[in-house]
Amino acid sequence: MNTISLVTLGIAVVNAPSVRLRLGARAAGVRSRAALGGGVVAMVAAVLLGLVAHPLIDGLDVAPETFRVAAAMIVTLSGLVVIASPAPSPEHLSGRRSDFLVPVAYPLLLGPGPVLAWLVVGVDHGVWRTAVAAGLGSAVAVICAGLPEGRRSGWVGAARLLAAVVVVLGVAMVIDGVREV
Amino acid sequence: MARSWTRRRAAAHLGAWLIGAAIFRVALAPAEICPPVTVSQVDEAIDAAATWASTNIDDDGRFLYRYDRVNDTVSRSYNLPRHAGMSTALYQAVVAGHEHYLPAAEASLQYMLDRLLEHDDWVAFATPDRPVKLGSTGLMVAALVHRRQATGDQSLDDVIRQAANFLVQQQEPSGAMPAFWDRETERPTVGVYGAFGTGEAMWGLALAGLALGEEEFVAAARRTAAYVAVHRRIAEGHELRLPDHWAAYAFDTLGGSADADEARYVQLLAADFAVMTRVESTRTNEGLRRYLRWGQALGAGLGALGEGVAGMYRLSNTEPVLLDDRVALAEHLSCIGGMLVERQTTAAEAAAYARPEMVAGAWFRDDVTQVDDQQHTLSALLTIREALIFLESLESGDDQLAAPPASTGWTVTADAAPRRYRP
Repeated sequence: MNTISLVTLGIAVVNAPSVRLRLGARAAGVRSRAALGGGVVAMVAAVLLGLVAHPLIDGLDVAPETFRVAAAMIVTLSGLVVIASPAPSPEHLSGRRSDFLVPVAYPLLLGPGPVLAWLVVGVDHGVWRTAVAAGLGSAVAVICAGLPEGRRSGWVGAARLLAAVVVVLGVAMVIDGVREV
Repeated sequence: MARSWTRRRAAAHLGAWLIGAAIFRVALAPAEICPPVTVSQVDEAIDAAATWASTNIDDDGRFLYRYDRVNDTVSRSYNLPRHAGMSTALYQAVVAGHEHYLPAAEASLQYMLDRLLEHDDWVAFATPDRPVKLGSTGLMVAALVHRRQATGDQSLDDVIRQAANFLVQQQEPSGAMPAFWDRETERPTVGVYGAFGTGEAMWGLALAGLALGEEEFVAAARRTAAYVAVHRRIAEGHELRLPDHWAAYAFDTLGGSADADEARYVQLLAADFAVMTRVESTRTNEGLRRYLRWGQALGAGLGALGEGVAGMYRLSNTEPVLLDDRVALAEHLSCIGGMLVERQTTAAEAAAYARPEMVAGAWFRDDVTQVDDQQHTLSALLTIREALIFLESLESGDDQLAAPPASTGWTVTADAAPRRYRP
C-alpha cells in the first residue's frame, strides 16, 4: 500500500462525517472536547495496535497475508454497512468528561474497521505509519466534530462516500493479500 | 442514569467485539499449522513413498491403483496418466540419487513401452480399450527424459522423439492441446480439453526438446506456454486460473517466462499455490474446522500443491519476477513437507492392517489410497528436501549451500550427462 492509499485509508476508515452525525446536536464545545479526547485515545490505541500487530499474528499462528485478507474483509464489510444502513442516529453524550472514552473513542473511533485497519497497517508498514494514518483520521474527526450539523443529508452523503472509499481500499487489500506469495 | 446507560452501551459493544473476534478467529483467520520437519524426516518419507511404489508393482509393471485398507480391497480400475506420473516420480528419485528404485521405474516404463500405439511418425501411450489420452504420453515423455538423465542411456531417444511428435500433432495453432486423439477420425478431438493434460504435454515437449536438442519441440512447448498464460482460462471455460502444477514444472524446464504476460501468469500462479498452502495448513479434520475449512486434501492434492510450489521454487532460480519470493516459496515447501510427513502412514501404523505393504508409506483419506497419492507427493518431496537445505543454509549463513540447487531433472540440457544431486 503506497503512502496516498495509506493516508486515504486513515481518513476514510475513521469516517469523520459518520462520527459527526453520531455526535448529534450537543453544544460545539462538548462535541469538540469529547472528539479531541477521543481522538487522542484512538491514536494511542492505534500506536499500541501497530506495536502489537506482529506479536499478535505470530501468537495466532497466522501468516501476515492471511491476516491481511481476513482483516480487509471486515474493513470492507464495515464500509458496506455504512453504505447500506440508514443515516446513523446520534449517540447519547452525557456531557460528562467520560464522553471522550464512551461513546467517542469507543466505539465511534475504534470500531472494527479502524481497529483491523490499524493492525494490518502495523504489520505491513510499522508503527509510525500506523500512527500517521490514525492521527490523520482522528484529526479530521476532531475538525468535523466542531462544525455545525447543518444539513444532515450532506453529512450522510459524505459518510457514504468515504465508506465507498473504504470498500474500494478493502477489496484492494484482499486482492493484495491473495496475490502475495 | 447517564452513567449506567454508558456502561450498558460499553458492555454491549464489548460483547459484540468478543463475539466478532471469535468469529474472525474461527472463520476467517484460524491458526495455520505447519508441522516442523527436518531433511532426514523428508528422506524417510521419500524412501517410504518410493518403496510403496516399487513394492506395489506387478510383474507386468503395473502399479497397485487403489487400495482400501479397512476392507482390504484392491480396485481393478487403472489410469494411464497416473501410471506415467508415478513412473516419472520414480525416475526423479533415481536422478536425485535413490538408484535402488531404478528396477521398479524400469518395470513401469516397460509397461508403457509394451502399450505404444504406433501411427505415422508418432507413438502414444494407450491401451486398446481406452481413449488415447494426451496426458499419458506427455508424462511418458517426462519419464523417458528423466530415465535418460538418470542412466545416460540414449537408446530410447527415438521413442522420446516419436512420443513428442504425437504431442506436437495434437497441438492447435493457438497452442491449445485437445485431451484426446480419436481412433475413428484419426485426428485430435475438437473442443475437448483436459484440466491437466495440457500442462503434462507442455512439460513433456519442453523436456524432450531440451534433452534432444530439438528446437521444434521447445517451440511447441513455448506456444502452449503462451496459450496457458493468456488464453486458456477463457478459451476452456474455467472460472478461475487452474492450479496447474504441470505448467509450473514446464515453465521451470523452459527456464522461465518469454514475455510480460507469461511472467504475470507465473507470478499469479505462485500466489495461487501460496494461498492454497495457507488454506491447507488450517485444515485439521477436527471439530468446527472440518465444516468451515473442509477436510484435509487428498495425498495427491497436497502432493500436487507441493509440485506446484516446487516448480515455482525451482523457477525462482531463473525467473526475475519470482526472485524475491524464493525464501517464501521455500517456506511454503517446508510447510507442505511438514504436512506430508505428518500425514504419511508409517510402517508401525501399517502393521495394524491386513496388508501392511500396501499401506506403509502411503497417504490415505477415508482409508483409501491411490497411486497418485504417492506419485505427486514423492515428486514434491524431492524438491522439498532441497528447499529445507536452502532454508537451513540461510540460518547457518553457509553460502555454498545457499547456492541455487543442482537440478534433479526438472531442467535438462541437450545431451545432458547423468547428474546426481548430493547435498
